Amino acid sequence: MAGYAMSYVALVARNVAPVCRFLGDSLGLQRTDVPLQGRAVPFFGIGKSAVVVFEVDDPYLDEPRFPGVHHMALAAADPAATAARHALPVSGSGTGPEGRRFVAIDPAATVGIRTRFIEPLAIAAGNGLAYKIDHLGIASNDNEASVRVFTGNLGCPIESTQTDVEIRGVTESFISDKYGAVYHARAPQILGGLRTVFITVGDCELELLMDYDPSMKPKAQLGNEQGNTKGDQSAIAKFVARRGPGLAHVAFATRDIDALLPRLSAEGWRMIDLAGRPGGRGSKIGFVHPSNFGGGLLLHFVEPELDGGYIASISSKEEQT
Amino acid sequence: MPTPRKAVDLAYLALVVDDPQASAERFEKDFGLPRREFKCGGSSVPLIPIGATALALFAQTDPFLGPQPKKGVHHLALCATDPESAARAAGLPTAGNLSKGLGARAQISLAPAATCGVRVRFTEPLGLAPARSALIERIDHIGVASAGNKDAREVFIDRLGCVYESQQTDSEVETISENLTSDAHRYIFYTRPSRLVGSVRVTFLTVGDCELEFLQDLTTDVSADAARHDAAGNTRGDRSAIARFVAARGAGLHHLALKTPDIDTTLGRLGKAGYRLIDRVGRPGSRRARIGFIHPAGFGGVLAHFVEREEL
Repeated sequence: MAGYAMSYVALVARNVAPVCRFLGDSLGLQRTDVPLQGRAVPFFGIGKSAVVVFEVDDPYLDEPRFPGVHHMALAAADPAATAARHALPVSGSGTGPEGRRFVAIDPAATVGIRTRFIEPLAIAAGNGLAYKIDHLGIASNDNEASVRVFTGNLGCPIESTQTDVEIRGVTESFISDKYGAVYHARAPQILGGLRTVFITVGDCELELLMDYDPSMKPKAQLGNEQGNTKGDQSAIAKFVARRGPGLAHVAFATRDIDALLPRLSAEGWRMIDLAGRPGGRGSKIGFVHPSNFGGGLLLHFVEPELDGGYIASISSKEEQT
Repeated sequence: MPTPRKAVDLAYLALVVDDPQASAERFEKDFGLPRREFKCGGSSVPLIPIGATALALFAQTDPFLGPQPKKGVHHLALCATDPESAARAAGLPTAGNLSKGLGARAQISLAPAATCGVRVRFTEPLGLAPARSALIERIDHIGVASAGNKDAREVFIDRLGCVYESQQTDSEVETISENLTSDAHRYIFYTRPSRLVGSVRVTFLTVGDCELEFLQDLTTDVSADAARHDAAGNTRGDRSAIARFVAARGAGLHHLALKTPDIDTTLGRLGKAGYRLIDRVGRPGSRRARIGFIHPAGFGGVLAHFVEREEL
């Protein structure tokens, strides 16, 4: 197999307990408390990978530490030799979960995407409402540079590329009881957009998200309305401006997003989307509000395109209403 | 068939400007209009005859205007041979007594609260000859930020003698579409529900040879945009301007619109003459017009636009 398998994804939360409740109780992911340097950390097996949740001040994590996605760990039988083979500079090394040896790659060599190589872990995964990590969202300001590292150097294949734009059209009407009706449409205007590259790592993808046009001002307020491309672009632009490029969110694949989002909402989780909206790769997506976890940690769900089904399901719903 | 009623005449429209003499010179030099001087109290007020009426240019400090006048369109004066009895006939409360106004003509003010916030006076006629230039034919209309056009019709038609000209609704509808274009997966295109982002009801009532244009914001559930004069105007911006004006000052006289034979030529000439323009070419306006705004900063502090349109 080309490339590497995703061993785990390290999440950081201000409040670890609600994240564990969300992943374990609400999504039904299997939890395993894994020994790490004399303590136990909560791993949740999902698909062929796992997510692990850390406190903001956990010493296993290198600085800077902030709520969100900290790093991804790729499986390698010999981490140090693997890094050397790819000529990737190592910024740290040690013993990780289950006593597995790891090396951390200097983020400057991976376009800010914090990456580790670790000896294979065996984290059990059961059947939950999310069946795999669909992708890791990456706030990018240079997709080509990331492709050179992950595809050119590490051999992870490009799954697809995509361009999203949100366009505003405006019609003005002047309707008089004496002068009749005048209609006037202004030229369409691109409000915002993203250039996206999907790179396959194990059973999920890295989703490189780059601002379509950095001269477009991001929206000031986010998270108070149903998501859209302009909002997504704004979130990416703000992330890059504040933190630089890097891992930004985790997306879980689910089989029925329109059932899952309301269910989570009914359980008391604050959701940005209550119904799936069109997302990348013909999928439907819906975001969880970061405020559930003390802020910063952004998760969303994806119902991948299956048999081209979802457009048909949208139109049949519209016919019913 | 009954003969159409003739609208009450407009004696003059009072503007408060940065510098009345400088503004008068601009009207003479750049707009080709004549100029007169009228005594008013202790001051000499430049008067610009325009169409069948005139613009009276006041300084902000002129005591004739009452307390703390703001720059812009201040009041309109309707013709009456006997101002006091005209006010009585209108059945509207007055503000102050009969006094001497422009050219020592007798005049009286109505209480603005009774006239939809519009400052209205009755004055004896000024007796000016009609005037026009190659650039300016006459006043097209006087814009009023209105809190309710129904009330405006009752006051200005039934009591003050204006004549209904037309009414229209200007709206701006926004439709946002998303385009997700993949090289491996299906092309996704969808459109979100259209949204009304600005709507204005516009009622035109004839006074003299021009109209009062009452502009009522209908989109009270949409917050107004901040002012911006760096791009061509549109209905959404116009609506926001009216909403902001009513919120800040209350309803009342808002802008001046001058009728010109060729809007693009006029805007081009004024741009070359150094005037700051909001619109560089005509854009669609009410009554099938093409309109273009001049920036108040270069126009004595008065918000004004030009109008090119055919009369029906």
